[in-house]
Amino acid sequence: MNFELIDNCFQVAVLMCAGLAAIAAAIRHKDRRFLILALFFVCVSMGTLYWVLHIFIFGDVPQVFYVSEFSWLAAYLFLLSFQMVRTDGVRPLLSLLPLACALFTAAVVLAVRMFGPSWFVSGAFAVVFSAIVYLAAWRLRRNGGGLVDGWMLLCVGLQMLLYVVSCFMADYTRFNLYFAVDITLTFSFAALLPLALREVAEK
Amino acid sequence: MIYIENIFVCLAIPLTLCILFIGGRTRRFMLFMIAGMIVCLLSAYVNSFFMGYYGASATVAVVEITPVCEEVMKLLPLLFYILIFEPKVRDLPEAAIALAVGFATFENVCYLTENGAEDLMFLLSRGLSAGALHILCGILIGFGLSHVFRRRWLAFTGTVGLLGACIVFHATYNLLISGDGAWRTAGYLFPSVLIALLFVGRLLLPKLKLKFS
Repeated sequence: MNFELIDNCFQVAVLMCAGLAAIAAAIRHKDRRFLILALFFVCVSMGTLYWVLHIFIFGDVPQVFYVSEFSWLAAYLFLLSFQMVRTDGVRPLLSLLPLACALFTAAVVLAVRMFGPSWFVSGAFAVVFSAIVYLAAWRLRRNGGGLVDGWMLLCVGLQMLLYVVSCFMADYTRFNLYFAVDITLTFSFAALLPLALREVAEK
Repeated sequence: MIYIENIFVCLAIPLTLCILFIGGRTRRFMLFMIAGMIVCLLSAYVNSFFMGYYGASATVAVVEITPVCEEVMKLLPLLFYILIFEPKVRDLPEAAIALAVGFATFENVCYLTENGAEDLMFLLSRGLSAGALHILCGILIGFGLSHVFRRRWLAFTGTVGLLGACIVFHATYNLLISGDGAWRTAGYLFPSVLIALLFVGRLLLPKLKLKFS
Protein backbone atom coordinates (compact mmCIF):
# COMPACT_ATOMS: atom_id res chain seq x y z
CA MET A 1 0.00 0.00 0.00
CA ASN A 2 1.48 3.40 -0.90
CA PHE A 3 1.83 6.20 1.59
CA GLU A 4 -0.82 8.39 -0.10
CA LEU A 5 -3.53 5.92 0.92
CA ILE A 6 -2.19 5.60 4.47
CA ASP A 7 -2.08 9.39 4.84
CA ASN A 8 -5.59 9.83 3.45
CA CYS A 9 -7.07 7.06 5.62
CA PHE A 10 -5.39 8.64 8.64
CA GLN A 11 -6.90 12.03 7.75
CA VAL A 12 -10.38 10.53 7.32
CA ALA A 13 -10.18 8.75 10.70
CA VAL A 14 -8.84 11.75 12.65
CA LEU A 15 -11.30 14.24 11.19
CA MET A 16 -14.32 11.92 11.52
CA CYS A 17 -13.47 11.57 15.24
CA ALA A 18 -13.08 15.37 15.47
CA GLY A 19 -16.48 15.74 13.76
CA LEU A 20 -18.15 13.42 16.27
CA ALA A 21 -16.50 15.29 19.14
CA ALA A 22 -17.70 18.60 17.68
CA ILE A 23 -21.29 17.26 17.51
CA ALA A 24 -21.01 16.20 21.17
CA ALA A 25 -19.68 19.69 22.03
CA ALA A 26 -22.57 21.31 20.12
CA ILE A 27 -25.10 19.28 22.14
CA ARG A 28 -23.31 19.96 25.43
CA HIS A 29 -22.81 23.70 24.95
CA LYS A 30 -25.94 24.31 22.82
CA ASP A 31 -23.78 26.37 20.50
CA ARG A 32 -24.14 26.23 16.72
CA ARG A 33 -20.48 27.18 16.23
CA PHE A 34 -19.60 23.59 17.08
CA LEU A 35 -22.20 22.29 14.62
CA ILE A 36 -20.55 24.38 11.91
CA LEU A 37 -17.14 23.09 12.98
CA ALA A 38 -18.53 19.52 12.81
CA LEU A 39 -19.71 20.20 9.24
CA PHE A 40 -16.21 21.46 8.43
CA PHE A 41 -14.56 18.28 9.77
CA VAL A 42 -17.08 16.00 8.05
CA CYS A 43 -16.70 17.76 4.69
CA VAL A 44 -12.89 17.59 4.73
CA SER A 45 -12.94 13.91 5.64
CA MET A 46 -15.74 13.03 3.18
CA GLY A 47 -13.81 14.75 0.37
CA THR A 48 -10.74 12.71 1.24
CA LEU A 49 -12.84 9.54 1.66
CA TYR A 50 -14.34 9.98 -1.83
CA TRP A 51 -10.81 10.38 -3.26
CA VAL A 52 -9.54 7.26 -1.46
CA LEU A 53 -12.60 5.18 -2.41
CA HIS A 54 -12.24 6.21 -6.05
CA ILE A 55 -8.64 4.98 -6.00
CA PHE A 56 -9.66 1.75 -4.20
CA ILE A 57 -12.64 0.93 -6.44
CA PHE A 58 -11.50 2.18 -9.87
CA GLY A 59 -7.74 2.26 -9.31
CA ASP A 60 -7.57 5.84 -10.58
CA VAL A 61 -8.35 9.41 -9.49
CA PRO A 62 -11.59 11.17 -10.66
CA GLN A 63 -11.34 12.53 -14.20
CA VAL A 64 -14.36 14.77 -14.97
CA PHE A 65 -15.85 16.67 -12.01
CA TYR A 66 -13.63 16.79 -8.93
CA VAL A 67 -16.26 15.94 -6.33
CA SER A 68 -13.64 16.00 -3.56
CA GLU A 69 -12.88 19.61 -4.36
CA PHE A 70 -16.56 20.57 -4.05
CA SER A 71 -16.41 18.96 -0.62
CA TRP A 72 -13.21 20.76 0.41
CA LEU A 73 -14.63 24.05 -0.87
CA ALA A 74 -17.74 23.37 1.23
CA ALA A 75 -15.48 22.67 4.21
CA TYR A 76 -13.73 26.03 3.86
CA LEU A 77 -17.11 27.74 3.44
CA PHE A 78 -18.08 26.23 6.79
CA LEU A 79 -14.81 27.50 8.27
CA LEU A 80 -15.70 30.95 6.92
CA SER A 81 -19.20 30.60 8.43
CA PHE A 82 -17.55 29.68 11.74
CA GLN A 83 -15.51 32.90 11.58
CA MET A 84 -18.64 34.89 10.65
CA VAL A 85 -20.55 33.53 13.66
CA ARG A 86 -17.59 34.38 15.92
CA THR A 87 -17.57 37.92 14.49
CA ASP A 88 -21.35 38.20 14.89
CA GLY A 89 -22.60 41.59 16.08
CA VAL A 90 -19.41 43.36 14.99
CA ARG A 91 -19.16 44.93 11.57
CA PRO A 92 -15.65 44.29 10.20
CA LEU A 93 -14.48 47.61 8.75
CA LEU A 94 -11.97 48.01 5.98
CA SER A 95 -8.50 47.69 7.38
CA LEU A 96 -5.33 47.88 5.31
CA LEU A 97 -3.16 45.15 6.85
CA PRO A 98 -5.89 42.43 6.84
CA LEU A 99 -6.80 43.50 3.30
CA ALA A 100 -3.16 43.15 2.22
CA CYS A 101 -3.02 39.66 3.81
CA ALA A 102 -6.28 38.67 2.07
CA LEU A 103 -5.07 39.94 -1.32
CA PHE A 104 -1.74 38.13 -0.91
CA THR A 105 -3.63 34.91 -0.10
CA ALA A 106 -5.86 35.30 -3.16
CA ALA A 107 -2.82 36.01 -5.35
CA VAL A 108 -0.98 32.88 -4.14
CA VAL A 109 -4.07 30.68 -4.59
CA LEU A 110 -4.54 31.94 -8.16
CA ALA A 111 -0.81 31.81 -8.99
CA VAL A 112 -0.43 28.17 -7.87
CA ARG A 113 -3.96 27.47 -9.21
CA MET A 114 -4.82 25.62 -6.05
CA PHE A 115 -7.52 22.99 -6.52
CA GLY A 116 -7.11 23.62 -10.26
CA PRO A 117 -6.91 23.16 -13.22
CA SER A 118 -10.30 24.91 -13.36
CA TRP A 119 -10.03 28.70 -12.97
CA PHE A 120 -13.55 28.76 -11.57
CA VAL A 121 -12.69 26.41 -8.70
CA SER A 122 -9.37 28.19 -8.01
CA GLY A 123 -11.21 31.55 -8.05
CA ALA A 124 -13.82 30.24 -5.61
CA PHE A 125 -11.08 29.01 -3.28
CA ALA A 126 -9.25 32.34 -3.59
CA VAL A 127 -12.39 34.23 -2.50
CA VAL A 128 -13.15 31.90 0.42
CA PHE A 129 -9.52 31.70 1.64
CA SER A 130 -9.01 35.45 1.46
CA ALA A 131 -12.29 36.07 3.35
CA ILE A 132 -11.17 33.69 6.13
CA VAL A 133 -7.75 35.36 6.28
CA TYR A 134 -9.29 38.86 6.27
CA LEU A 135 -11.62 38.08 9.18
CA ALA A 136 -8.90 36.34 11.20
CA ALA A 137 -6.34 39.12 10.60
CA TRP A 138 -8.96 41.80 11.30
CA ARG A 139 -9.90 40.17 14.60
CA LEU A 140 -6.25 39.77 15.59
CA ARG A 141 -5.55 43.43 14.81
CA ARG A 142 -8.71 44.74 16.46
CA ASN A 143 -8.53 43.21 19.90
CA GLY A 144 -5.65 40.80 19.86
CA GLY A 145 -8.16 38.20 18.64
CA GLY A 146 -7.92 34.75 20.11
CA LEU A 147 -5.76 31.71 19.64
CA VAL A 148 -8.43 30.44 17.22
CA ASP A 149 -7.78 33.33 14.81
CA GLY A 150 -4.05 32.70 14.77
CA TRP A 151 -4.70 28.99 14.35
CA MET A 152 -7.08 29.68 11.47
CA LEU A 153 -4.30 31.59 9.68
CA LEU A 154 -1.98 28.66 10.33
CA CYS A 155 -4.49 26.19 8.81
CA VAL A 156 -4.95 28.30 5.66
CA GLY A 157 -1.17 28.78 5.43
CA LEU A 158 -0.55 25.03 5.74
CA GLN A 159 -3.19 24.24 3.11
CA MET A 160 -1.50 26.65 0.72
CA LEU A 161 1.93 25.26 1.58
CA LEU A 162 0.62 21.76 0.85
CA TYR A 163 -0.24 22.78 -2.71
CA VAL A 164 3.02 24.62 -3.24
CA VAL A 165 4.92 21.54 -2.00
CA SER A 166 2.85 19.27 -4.26
CA CYS A 167 4.16 21.21 -7.29
CA PHE A 168 7.66 19.88 -6.51
CA MET A 169 6.72 16.28 -5.70
CA ALA A 170 6.45 13.47 -8.20
CA ASP A 171 6.48 10.34 -6.05
CA TYR A 172 3.58 9.85 -3.63
CA THR A 173 4.31 6.22 -2.76
CA ARG A 174 6.80 6.96 0.06
CA PHE A 175 6.90 9.38 2.97
CA ASN A 176 8.12 12.84 1.93
CA LEU A 177 7.70 16.55 2.77
CA TYR A 178 4.20 16.60 1.22
CA PHE A 179 2.92 14.02 3.71
CA ALA A 180 4.67 15.77 6.61
CA VAL A 181 2.76 18.96 5.74
CA ASP A 182 -0.50 17.04 5.20
CA ILE A 183 -0.29 15.27 8.58
CA THR A 184 0.50 18.59 10.29
CA LEU A 185 -2.50 20.10 8.51
CA THR A 186 -4.75 17.26 9.71
CA PHE A 187 -3.68 17.81 13.33
CA SER A 188 -4.05 21.58 12.93
CA PHE A 189 -7.64 21.12 11.71
CA ALA A 190 -8.42 18.81 14.63
CA ALA A 191 -6.86 21.25 17.10
CA LEU A 192 -9.47 23.87 16.12
CA LEU A 193 -12.02 22.05 18.28
CA PRO A 194 -10.17 22.19 21.64
CA LEU A 195 -9.24 25.80 20.89
CA ALA A 196 -12.88 26.69 20.20
CA LEU A 197 -13.90 24.85 23.39
CA ARG A 198 -11.34 26.87 25.33
CA GLU A 199 -12.68 30.08 23.81
CA VAL A 200 -16.23 29.18 24.87
CA ALA A 201 -15.05 28.24 28.39
CA GLU A 202 -13.19 31.57 28.74
CA LYS A 203 -16.33 33.50 27.83
CA MET B 1 -34.60 3.50 -23.85
CA ILE B 2 -37.32 4.69 -21.52
CA TYR B 3 -39.78 7.52 -22.12
CA ILE B 4 -39.33 9.46 -18.91
CA GLU B 5 -41.55 12.34 -20.06
CA ASN B 6 -44.45 9.89 -20.43
CA ILE B 7 -43.76 8.41 -17.01
CA PHE B 8 -43.69 11.91 -15.56
CA VAL B 9 -47.05 12.80 -17.11
CA CYS B 10 -48.58 9.60 -15.78
CA LEU B 11 -47.31 10.23 -12.24
CA ALA B 12 -47.81 13.98 -12.07
CA ILE B 13 -51.40 14.18 -13.33
CA PRO B 14 -53.06 12.52 -10.29
CA LEU B 15 -50.90 14.59 -7.94
CA THR B 16 -51.74 17.80 -9.82
CA LEU B 17 -55.46 16.93 -9.74
CA CYS B 18 -55.39 16.34 -6.01
CA ILE B 19 -53.81 19.78 -5.48
CA LEU B 20 -57.08 21.31 -6.74
CA PHE B 21 -58.96 19.82 -3.79
CA ILE B 22 -56.54 20.16 -0.89
CA GLY B 23 -55.05 23.17 0.85
CA GLY B 24 -52.59 24.39 3.43
CA ARG B 25 -49.45 22.49 4.30
CA THR B 26 -50.56 19.29 2.51
CA ARG B 27 -50.92 21.25 -0.73
CA ARG B 28 -47.48 22.79 -0.30
CA PHE B 29 -46.00 19.34 0.39
CA MET B 30 -47.64 17.94 -2.76
CA LEU B 31 -46.45 20.90 -4.85
CA PHE B 32 -42.87 20.34 -3.74
CA MET B 33 -43.18 16.64 -4.48
CA ILE B 34 -44.20 17.47 -8.06
CA ALA B 35 -41.35 20.00 -8.22
CA GLY B 36 -38.98 17.21 -7.13
CA MET B 37 -40.23 15.02 -9.99
CA ILE B 38 -39.78 17.86 -12.50
CA VAL B 39 -36.25 18.45 -11.19
CA CYS B 40 -35.48 14.73 -11.58
CA LEU B 41 -36.69 14.86 -15.19
CA LEU B 42 -34.60 17.96 -15.94
CA SER B 43 -31.56 16.48 -14.19
CA ALA B 44 -31.68 13.55 -16.60
CA TYR B 45 -31.35 16.01 -19.53
CA VAL B 46 -28.52 17.95 -17.85
CA ASN B 47 -26.68 14.71 -17.00
CA SER B 48 -26.99 13.50 -20.59
CA PHE B 49 -25.68 16.85 -21.85
CA PHE B 50 -22.55 16.74 -19.65
CA MET B 51 -22.04 13.05 -20.40
CA GLY B 52 -21.96 13.84 -24.12
CA TYR B 53 -19.90 17.01 -23.62
CA TYR B 54 -17.12 15.23 -21.70
CA GLY B 55 -17.49 11.96 -23.61
CA ALA B 56 -17.86 10.17 -20.27
CA SER B 57 -18.86 6.55 -19.84
CA ALA B 58 -22.02 5.59 -17.91
CA THR B 59 -19.99 4.64 -14.81
CA VAL B 60 -18.00 7.89 -14.80
CA ALA B 61 -21.25 9.83 -15.26
CA VAL B 62 -22.90 8.07 -12.30
CA VAL B 63 -19.91 8.61 -10.01
CA GLU B 64 -18.73 12.08 -11.00
CA ILE B 65 -21.35 13.99 -13.03
CA THR B 66 -24.77 12.88 -11.71
CA PRO B 67 -24.29 13.83 -8.02
CA VAL B 68 -23.19 17.37 -8.92
CA CYS B 69 -25.99 17.97 -11.44
CA GLU B 70 -28.75 16.39 -9.33
CA GLU B 71 -27.88 18.20 -6.11
CA VAL B 72 -27.52 21.58 -7.86
CA MET B 73 -30.86 21.04 -9.65
CA LYS B 74 -32.58 20.02 -6.39
CA LEU B 75 -31.41 23.19 -4.69
CA LEU B 76 -32.81 25.53 -7.37
CA PRO B 77 -36.57 25.25 -6.53
CA LEU B 78 -35.75 25.56 -2.84
CA LEU B 79 -33.71 28.71 -3.47
CA PHE B 80 -36.59 30.12 -5.53
CA TYR B 81 -38.97 29.38 -2.64
CA ILE B 82 -36.65 31.00 -0.08
CA LEU B 83 -35.85 34.10 -2.12
CA ILE B 84 -39.33 34.81 -3.54
CA PHE B 85 -41.74 33.58 -0.84
CA GLU B 86 -39.53 34.16 2.24
CA PRO B 87 -41.04 31.19 4.12
CA LYS B 88 -41.11 30.72 7.88
CA VAL B 89 -38.19 28.81 9.40
CA ARG B 90 -40.36 25.78 10.23
CA ASP B 91 -41.59 25.45 6.61
CA LEU B 92 -38.13 25.01 5.07
CA PRO B 93 -37.26 21.45 6.19
CA GLU B 94 -40.69 20.24 5.10
CA ALA B 95 -40.25 21.77 1.63
CA ALA B 96 -36.73 20.34 1.24
CA ILE B 97 -37.87 16.87 2.31
CA ALA B 98 -40.93 16.93 0.00
CA LEU B 99 -38.67 17.91 -2.90
CA ALA B 100 -36.34 15.01 -2.07
CA VAL B 101 -39.26 12.56 -1.78
CA GLY B 102 -40.59 13.59 -5.22
CA PHE B 103 -37.12 13.26 -6.72
CA ALA B 104 -36.47 9.83 -5.17
CA THR B 105 -39.93 8.52 -6.15
CA PHE B 106 -39.56 9.54 -9.79
CA GLU B 107 -36.01 8.15 -9.93
CA ASN B 108 -37.18 4.83 -8.51
CA VAL B 109 -40.09 4.58 -10.97
CA CYS B 110 -37.71 5.21 -13.89
CA TYR B 111 -35.34 2.59 -12.45
CA LEU B 112 -38.20 0.06 -12.21
CA THR B 113 -39.29 0.76 -15.79
CA GLU B 114 -35.75 0.20 -17.04
CA ASN B 115 -34.77 -2.83 -14.94
CA GLY B 116 -38.01 -4.64 -14.11
CA ALA B 117 -39.53 -5.45 -10.73
CA GLU B 118 -38.76 -9.14 -10.28
CA ASP B 119 -36.15 -9.04 -7.52
CA LEU B 120 -37.94 -7.84 -4.37
CA MET B 121 -34.87 -7.93 -2.08
CA PHE B 122 -32.80 -5.87 -4.51
CA LEU B 123 -35.60 -3.33 -4.96
CA LEU B 124 -36.10 -3.16 -1.22
CA SER B 125 -32.44 -2.36 -0.61
CA ARG B 126 -32.37 0.12 -3.50
CA GLY B 127 -35.57 1.81 -2.36
CA LEU B 128 -34.27 2.08 1.19
CA SER B 129 -30.81 3.34 0.29
CA ALA B 130 -31.54 5.68 -2.65
CA GLY B 131 -34.66 7.00 -0.92
CA ALA B 132 -32.74 7.47 2.33
CA LEU B 133 -29.92 9.26 0.52
CA HIS B 134 -32.16 11.87 -1.13
CA ILE B 135 -34.11 12.42 2.07
CA LEU B 136 -30.84 12.72 4.00
CA CYS B 137 -29.71 15.46 1.60
CA GLY B 138 -33.14 17.14 1.95
CA ILE B 139 -32.88 17.06 5.74
CA LEU B 140 -29.32 18.41 5.66
CA ILE B 141 -30.29 21.34 3.42
CA GLY B 142 -33.65 22.03 5.10
CA PHE B 143 -32.55 21.89 8.72
CA GLY B 144 -29.17 23.46 7.97
CA LEU B 145 -30.71 26.51 6.33
CA SER B 146 -33.48 26.93 8.88
CA HIS B 147 -31.62 26.23 12.13
CA VAL B 148 -27.90 26.83 11.62
CA PHE B 149 -27.37 29.31 8.78
CA ARG B 150 -30.13 31.84 9.25
CA ARG B 151 -28.70 35.30 8.59
CA ARG B 152 -27.94 36.88 5.25
CA TRP B 153 -24.21 36.29 4.60
CA LEU B 154 -24.22 33.19 6.73
CA ALA B 155 -27.15 31.89 4.67
CA PHE B 156 -25.08 32.38 1.51
CA THR B 157 -21.95 30.57 2.71
CA GLY B 158 -24.12 27.96 4.45
CA THR B 159 -26.20 27.21 1.35
CA VAL B 160 -23.19 26.68 -0.89
CA GLY B 161 -21.45 24.70 1.86
CA LEU B 162 -24.45 22.45 2.40
CA LEU B 163 -24.71 21.94 -1.35
CA GLY B 164 -21.08 20.73 -1.37
CA ALA B 165 -21.80 18.42 1.56
CA CYS B 166 -24.83 16.93 -0.24
CA ILE B 167 -22.80 16.45 -3.44
CA VAL B 168 -20.07 14.50 -1.66
CA PHE B 169 -22.60 12.34 0.27
CA HIS B 170 -24.43 11.55 -2.95
CA ALA B 171 -21.20 10.92 -4.88
CA THR B 172 -19.84 8.61 -2.18
CA TYR B 173 -23.06 6.57 -2.26
CA ASN B 174 -22.95 6.34 -6.08
CA LEU B 175 -19.27 5.40 -5.94
CA LEU B 176 -19.83 2.63 -3.40
CA ILE B 177 -22.76 1.07 -5.27
CA SER B 178 -20.70 1.15 -8.48
CA GLY B 179 -18.23 -1.20 -6.80
CA ASP B 180 -18.65 -4.91 -6.18
CA GLY B 181 -19.31 -7.07 -3.14
CA ALA B 182 -18.55 -5.40 0.18
CA TRP B 183 -18.30 -1.92 -1.39
CA ARG B 184 -21.82 -2.22 -2.77
CA THR B 185 -23.20 -3.53 0.52
CA ALA B 186 -21.53 -0.63 2.34
CA GLY B 187 -23.10 1.72 -0.21
CA TYR B 188 -26.58 0.36 0.44
CA LEU B 189 -26.10 0.49 4.20
CA PHE B 190 -24.46 3.92 4.50
CA PRO B 191 -27.48 6.21 3.88
CA SER B 192 -29.88 3.88 5.69
CA VAL B 193 -27.69 3.82 8.82
CA LEU B 194 -27.27 7.60 8.74
CA ILE B 195 -31.01 8.20 8.42
CA ALA B 196 -31.69 5.74 11.25
CA LEU B 197 -29.21 7.68 13.44
CA LEU B 198 -30.89 10.94 12.48
CA PHE B 199 -34.26 9.48 13.43
CA VAL B 200 -32.92 8.42 16.84
CA GLY B 201 -31.49 11.93 17.21
CA ARG B 202 -34.88 13.42 16.34
CA LEU B 203 -36.50 11.35 19.07
CA LEU B 204 -33.84 12.19 21.67
CA LEU B 205 -33.14 15.87 20.98
CA PRO B 206 -36.53 17.27 22.15
CA LYS B 207 -35.88 15.60 25.53
CA LEU B 208 -32.58 17.51 25.78
CA LYS B 209 -34.50 20.77 25.00
CA LEU B 210 -31.81 21.84 22.60
CA LYS B 211 -31.86 25.29 21.07
CA PHE B 212 -28.65 26.41 19.42
CA SER B 213 -27.45 29.95 20.12
